[in-house]
Amino acid sequence: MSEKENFNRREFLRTISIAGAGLYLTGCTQKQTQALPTPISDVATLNPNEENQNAAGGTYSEAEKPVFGDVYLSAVRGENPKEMTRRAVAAVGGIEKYISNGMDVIIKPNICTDYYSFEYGATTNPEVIAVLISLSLGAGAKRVRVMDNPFGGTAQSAYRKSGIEEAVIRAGGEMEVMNSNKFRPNEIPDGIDIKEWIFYQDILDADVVINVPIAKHHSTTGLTLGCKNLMGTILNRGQIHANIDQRIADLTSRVRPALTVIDGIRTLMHNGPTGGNLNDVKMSNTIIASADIVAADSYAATLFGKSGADIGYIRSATAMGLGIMDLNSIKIEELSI
Amino acid sequence: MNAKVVRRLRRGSKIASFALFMFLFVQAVYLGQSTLTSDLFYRFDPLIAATAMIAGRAIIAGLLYSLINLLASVIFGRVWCGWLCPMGTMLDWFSPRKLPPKKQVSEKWRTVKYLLFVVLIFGAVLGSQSLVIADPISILTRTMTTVLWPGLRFMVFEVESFLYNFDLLWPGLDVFNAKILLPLFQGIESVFIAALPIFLFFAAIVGLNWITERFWCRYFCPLGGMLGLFSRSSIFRREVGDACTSCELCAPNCPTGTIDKENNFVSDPAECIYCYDCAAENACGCAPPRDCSLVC
Repeated sequence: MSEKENFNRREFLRTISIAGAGLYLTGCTQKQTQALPTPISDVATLNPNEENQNAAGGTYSEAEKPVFGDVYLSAVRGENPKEMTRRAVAAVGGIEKYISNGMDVIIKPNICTDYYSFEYGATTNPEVIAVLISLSLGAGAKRVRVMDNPFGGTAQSAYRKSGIEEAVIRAGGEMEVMNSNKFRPNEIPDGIDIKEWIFYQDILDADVVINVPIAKHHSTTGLTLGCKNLMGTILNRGQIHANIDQRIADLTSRVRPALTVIDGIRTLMHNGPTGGNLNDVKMSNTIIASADIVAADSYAATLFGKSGADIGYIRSATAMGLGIMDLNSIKIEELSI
Repeated sequence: MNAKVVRRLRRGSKIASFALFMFLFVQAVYLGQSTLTSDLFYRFDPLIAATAMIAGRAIIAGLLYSLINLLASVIFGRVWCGWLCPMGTMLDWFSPRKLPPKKQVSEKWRTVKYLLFVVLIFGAVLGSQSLVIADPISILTRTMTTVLWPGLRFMVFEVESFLYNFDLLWPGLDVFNAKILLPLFQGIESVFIAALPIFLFFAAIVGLNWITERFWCRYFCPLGGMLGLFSRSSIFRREVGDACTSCELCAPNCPTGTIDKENNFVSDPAECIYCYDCAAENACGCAPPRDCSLVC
């Protein structure tokens, strides 16, 4: 090995490491904020956020104290999305009913495109997600990830445009870009039309999935609510559109989120799922929560003047035994705050 | 100045300049989130400035930074070529270590770059900047955008995909993906239709290095031609002093091949890129040079 060749190899390695370090530093500069609160905590309820203090009887007055009920479905009407979400979750048993210490939680909102901000009623309200993160961390969740797989624009730009990324990071959660490498084929044992599909493995493996759709009109299925929101967990979405109602029900049978919180603050009444016209957005100012995704969807349909039975995939899901469509047969709490 | 020190500085300058080029390139994707303007290198390029202002019949204030480059050439010679040009750096990196016995390329070929420069200016006078595709910053930016960066992305993501087959690696890969891959490459898989001809053009320029070192810079680069014209009477220049023993070690080391064996080993200041390779330990056999003008 001649001296000159040795020297060149050293030079090459040095150059590559400097270049690599430079690229890494470039990557580092892309952090959105400087000091992020770390959500990872081994001790339950160590997170010093508002929700937690209040749950321990901290700063609420007697009149404001959230009532921890045990109803099947709650529907809260009001002006303050954060407060409404807290009350809605409290009414169906409180977050501790669903999340315990050390759990890996995934929140699945609707971030379908990067075209518009959340005022256009096409993506989930960031404040609703932020509250759910705070509640989850307060209950001792190991980490809370928020993710969706947009069909318009890139995940990064959609996360930013919808306002969700900012709210999530401030609340102590993580945005995750759904890496195509983490989708795996999975069986759907209870599936009627489809027996197998490609799902995001982390969502299926998570301890708890909280489904947080936005209630809106949909050109194909009539409405898109909780069950339909689960389409963000799969690949080959084009093929799902054949016999879509049954297939959505089949997907729901595999994912089975523990809790569904439907954002009905702004409901897109026409031209869904993409939207784009503020005139199509109605302030319905409602948050619906239930462990039963079918019941939640059925109630949300009433915001559009429909019933659960009017929507194909809700009927299919009910027939499969995934939940209760008939609102008269369940205990509902309707609050106005 | 010690030749060793200068050569080290030059190496650092080339790397820093290229790193800056790549930093600006990656930042350009973020559009407006960068503190430095993404077209910084274009602003310092006097060929771009000249053709743009002549063709546009206007003084473009943002391009006047290039006067700094011209001033540097008048003082120091073609330091841009040797120390700052990212295309030159790439050509130095993609160069055969052991060249085959030097094929003799006629010195007459050097005039091609001056001719090309004149043709570009002439085109600009007629209102066209089309020929600026021959500018090195333009070539490198275009090639990086359509070929090199997407190509690198493809390779990195293929390796990542393979590694994702192993579930145990997921936590680490997730961090790597979120912190490094996504900020650099975004979620965008770019495939450009014109990538092949653009790549072939660039590959041809790099391939010329196998005929002789820095072939593009010596014979074809119109920016090199322009800076060469301004460097003809540079204040600092390589001069051969009386101490020269005609050891003939400097000439083969010169990347632009401008040291003339027949003519007392003098070099043309319009061709010298101030690399100090001629004064390296294994080159000049004379006593070490004592000052900046590289008296040999």
